[in-house]
Order: sequence, then structure tokens, then C-alpha cells
Amino acid sequence: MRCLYAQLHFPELALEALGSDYQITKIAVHDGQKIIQASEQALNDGIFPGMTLNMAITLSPLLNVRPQQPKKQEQLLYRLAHWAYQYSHQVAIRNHGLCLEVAKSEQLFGALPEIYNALTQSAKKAGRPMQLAFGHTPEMADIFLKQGICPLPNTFQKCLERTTIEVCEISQAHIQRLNNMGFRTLKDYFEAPGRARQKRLPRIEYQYLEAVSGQHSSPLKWFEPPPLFDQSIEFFKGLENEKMLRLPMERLTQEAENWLRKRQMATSNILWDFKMENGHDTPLRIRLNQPETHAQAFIDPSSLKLAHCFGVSPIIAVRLRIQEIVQTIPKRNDLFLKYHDSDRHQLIDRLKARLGEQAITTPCRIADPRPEKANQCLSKPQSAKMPILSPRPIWLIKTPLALGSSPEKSGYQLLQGPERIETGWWDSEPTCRSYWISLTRSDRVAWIYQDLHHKTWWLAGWFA
Amino acid sequence: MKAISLQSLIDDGRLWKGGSSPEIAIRSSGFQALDQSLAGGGWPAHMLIEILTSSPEELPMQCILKTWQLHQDERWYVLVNPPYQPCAEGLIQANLKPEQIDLIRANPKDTSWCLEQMAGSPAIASILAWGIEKIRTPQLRRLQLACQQARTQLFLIRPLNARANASPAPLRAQLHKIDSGFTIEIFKQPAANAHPIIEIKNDLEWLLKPAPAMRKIVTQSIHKRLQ
Repeated sequence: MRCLYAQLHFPELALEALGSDYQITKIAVHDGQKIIQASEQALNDGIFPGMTLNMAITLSPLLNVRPQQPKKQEQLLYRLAHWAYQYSHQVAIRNHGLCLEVAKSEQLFGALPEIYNALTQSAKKAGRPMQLAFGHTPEMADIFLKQGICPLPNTFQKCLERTTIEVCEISQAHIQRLNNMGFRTLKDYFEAPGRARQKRLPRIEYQYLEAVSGQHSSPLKWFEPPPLFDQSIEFFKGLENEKMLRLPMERLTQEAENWLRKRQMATSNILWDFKMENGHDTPLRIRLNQPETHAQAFIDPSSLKLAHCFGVSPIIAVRLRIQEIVQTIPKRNDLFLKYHDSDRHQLIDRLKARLGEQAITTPCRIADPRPEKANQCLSKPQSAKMPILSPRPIWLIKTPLALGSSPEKSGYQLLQGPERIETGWWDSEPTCRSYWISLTRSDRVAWIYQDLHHKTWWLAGWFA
Repeated sequence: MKAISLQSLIDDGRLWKGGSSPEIAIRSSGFQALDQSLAGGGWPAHMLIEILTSSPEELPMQCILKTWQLHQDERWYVLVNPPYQPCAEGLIQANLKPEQIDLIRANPKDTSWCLEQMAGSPAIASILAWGIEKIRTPQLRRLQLACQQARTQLFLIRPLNARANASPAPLRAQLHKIDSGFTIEIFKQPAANAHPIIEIKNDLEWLLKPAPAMRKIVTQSIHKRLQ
């Protein structure tokens, strides 16, 4: 199978690297002398790439002009490589863009036009401009990309032959030299005998043109996804409320979902970091009821907890980290069940996010002879298997109510008992009690006990 | 003017014909007299039910416990802001599964949101909620819609003064404590008229049969009182 590469170019990479909200800002990026990229709002003011910096500032005094930041561009490309990794297992960062080996992806995504559609649709959904071209080598794809065309393999040769020498990425002196020799298009050049071509150009330029023809390809350094997920998005203007932060958070959780899916992993623990304009960081940890893969399962509890993160200073960057992952267990959905387990887990996550970790509990049995310790409500359910020998009430009173020295005087008539519980000598809460089932004057059945040390009576619970 | 057929609304159970037995899913209340008074023969299974009482800590659980005992499926049961802490051993003895019961403590500000989340979840079978002092009509309507859509039953315990206000809850009842038990008055229900007050006596028979592990000390006077 012959190799097939897709070269991806992001025309607004330098702008996006400075802040993901560049589209709503009048901003331009320069290389020290000239404007290299400008946002739509800046373009509307008459700014265009190639314009000198001074002219741009004179033309639009409110223009936000920033120098390009290669390091941030590299980081953004690294994030984009994560995204592209879902379409190909071979992704490389090259030539200020991405290069994907797509010949093997055809088996999964279908023919090249379908891969083209999948990539462009995904970029469009993320609101990111992107250009794309295929080629047998990355250099060939570059040539098509520069001409703004995206031919399919059956027309590669024809399109290459039409290409003028000027389009190639070789120095002006060498272009002039080839033109003087009568080579106007790549067709003229490729028709010359191999040895003649080799003699007329230095080795690097010769190899480059061979790569453009699809004969020889320079080795690529393939991107390797890191073992843990860690990505962030920055903003120009600080975000001051939850609604504004929702979109970038959705984008990050979607990327986290793709990252987890590729590994067939899930997580129950995600960590957000919100960077404030005043330099402070606010971490927000979300613990889920069970390991999840879906972006929705992360975003719902995160947005509910978000209100606590907004303080005095606006948020200028958001970072999402996943530090613990577990193998995904395939879901066994019973055809006859009315609901799926995930419904319950997602509900619990939402409730916990808003009400707090301890707000949702389940009545549990603990192996302890003291009734108040044996029956507790815990957020992580557990159940000790012990026989229940005596009647127990439906309700327990958390702090027993004092009934004085005689239950009769308080209106409690003893019916059944005593159930003697003398235990707890091994810890600091020794217990010596006689429990009785009793009836109140209004026929309510109560569970009361006498503390045998102090000879006092207490109301412990109610039978329903 | 175009005539609109109401049949589809009647078929969906969203509109009822007065005096006819409604086509709604029901769950027996566990009390024969109460079932006879409830339209369809039991509590509506997928609706918002308002219980008004001045004894919220005692009567609602007494009234609802039997219906929970009779109808258990694989879904969850929820107690929201109960007056006391549920006892796992007591629940097991009452034939309920504590591991399928959730206890939720929510502050008044979050209770309505929390109820809507649960009523709208297909994982929940029935909810018994206390602590609703003030709730607006649109919120009640949202709860009723959520119950219908996710097929959830929601018992909302409210104070007696709520009776004076109209409510979108299809079934409203008032509980009142009496010496031998409690009374229940169903003053609004789907496709049926308000019903006279029904008296339900406390079941204290089980007290005459003490557990084998317990020494029996039941005095003559108590025997008499129970019989």
C-alpha cells in the first residue's frame, strides 16, 4: 500500500495560540515588522497580513497588536495533535501544521473524501479554520495546500505537472536558475533525466523536489500521546461568569472523552485549574460516582460546582487534568430493564456536585452491637451480614431525647423488653442499656432505653 | 374553525373525563379503605402527590410505607430531608432494601432543584420529600411534568396552610392524627370527586408477638389496651 499523507494547515494558529477568544477581539499578530495574522474584526478595519506594523497601528489605533509566540503555537499544535490522533495513529507536527498518515485510516473512515469530510466537519464544529490537502509525501501535500487545492490520488500527477516552480519551497536563486534552464513547471523539471536534475541542484533542493514528486520522503517524528491527559485553554479577556466558561470547558471535556475512548479507559476523578487574572489558581476536583468516559458526565457536575470558583478576579485560563484512569468495563444493558445504571450514577454525580459529597447517603449496616453505630447513613454503602434478633424501629433519633428517670411519667408505657445491650468496653464508648418497645399516649410506638449506669431513660427511635 | 380531537390527550392520560376510571398506572396504598377511595384503586404511580399534614414527622411514613413494601422493583427509593435518620435494620424488618434507598439532605434553596432532578430520572421509583415550606406553582408544575416523563412517583409533604392555595398536583390529600391512628381526606384527585374522610387504624398486632430473643413482659393492662 502506497503511503498517503494529509497536511493540515491552521490559518489562524498564531492568533488562537494567544487566546481561544480571539474571534471576538480586534487583534493582530506580528513578526516584529509585519502583520502575519489578523482577527476578523481587525480585517474589517482594513488590516491585512503583510501590512507593516506601523501602518496597522496608524490605521486602527484600538488594534491589539501582539508578537507571535512560537512556544504557545507549539503547545496548541500539540493539543491539535491529540484531536487529530482520533483519525490516524500516525500524526506529526510539521511545518506549523499537522501531518497525518491516512492510507490506513481509509479502512476505518472510508475513502479519502470521507476522511476529508470528517476532518473538516470536526474542525468546523470546534470553530477553527483549517485547510487540508493530501499527497503521497508531506511535501507533495504542501504543494497542493499552497495552491489551495485538494486533489485525489488519481489526479495528483496532473496537478503536480501544472504546478509552477515558484510554488516550491526553494530559494529564489535556485528558482531563477531552474527558470533560466527552461524549467517553468514541475512537468518540465520531472521530464529531465534524473542525473541531469541531480547535477543542476544542490543535494537538499534536489531531495526536496524528489519528495514533491512522491519519490522520496523525509522521515517524520510521530506524535506520541502522553500517558495522562493535561490540556488548557487561554483567553484574552478574563471570563467573569459561568456561562462564558461553559464553551471552553465543553471543548476540553470533549477532548478528554476522545483521549479516554482511544485508550478504552475511564476516570472517576478529574481536576480543573482556573487561572485568575490576579495570578491566583483555583483548583476544582470532581469525583464521580463511577468511572466515566462521556464528556457529559464530566461537564454536568463541573458546571454545578463552578459557581464557587468565581471570585474577585476574572478567569484567564482553564486547564483540565486526568490523573487516574481505569479500564472501561463494557456496559451490560439488560433489554428488559427500565433504566440503565448510568442514569443513576449521573444523577448522583449531579446531586453531589450541587449539594455536597455528604448530602447523599444510604442506610447501612455496620458490624457493631450498638444500634446507633450498627445503623448509619453513609455515602459509600456497605452492609454487614448479621442476624437481626429483635425488632428495630424505622427511624432513629440521632441525638436521643431525655425522658427523665421514669418513662411512665413522660407518657411512655413499656410493652416489650428488656433487650439488654452491654458492650463497647473495648473503646471509649462503653454502653450498658436496656431497650424497650413502648407506646405513647397517642398510640405511637417508640423505642426507648434506660441507661443502666445513670438510671436515666432516653427516646432512641420510632416505629412506623 | 378547526375541530380538535381530545381523544389523544385522554389516551395519554393528560386529560380525564369526570366520573370515569382514569387510565393511569397505580400502586396499591396497602390500606383497603384508602384504595377504594383512590381513583383507579391506588396511588398514581407516575405523578406528583401532595400530602398536607400538621404531623410531618409521624404520619407520612406511616401512610406511605405499605405502598413501598408492596411495590419494589429494581429502581431506587428516596427520602428527602426526613425528620429522623432511617434505620437500616428497621427497614430490612419492614421488607425494604436499605441499599436501594437514598437519603438526601438538601437546604431549602436547593430542595426544589434536587426534587426535579430526581423526579426526572428513570432510575428513581418513588420519592418522599419533606422540608418544602414554600414552593411556587411553576415549580410544582415542573415536578409534575418530570414525574410523568420519567415515570416517577413523588410524595410531597407540605404544611396544612398550603391547602388554601391551588396546586397543579393531580392528587392532594390531608392527613390528620387521631387517637387510634390517622385520617386521610383526598380533596383532589384525577377523574374523581373529593372523598369523605377515611379513618385508618394503627396496626399494633405485631406487638403481641414478641421476638423469640426477647423476654416477654407484657402486662395485663397493655394486653387490654391493644385488644
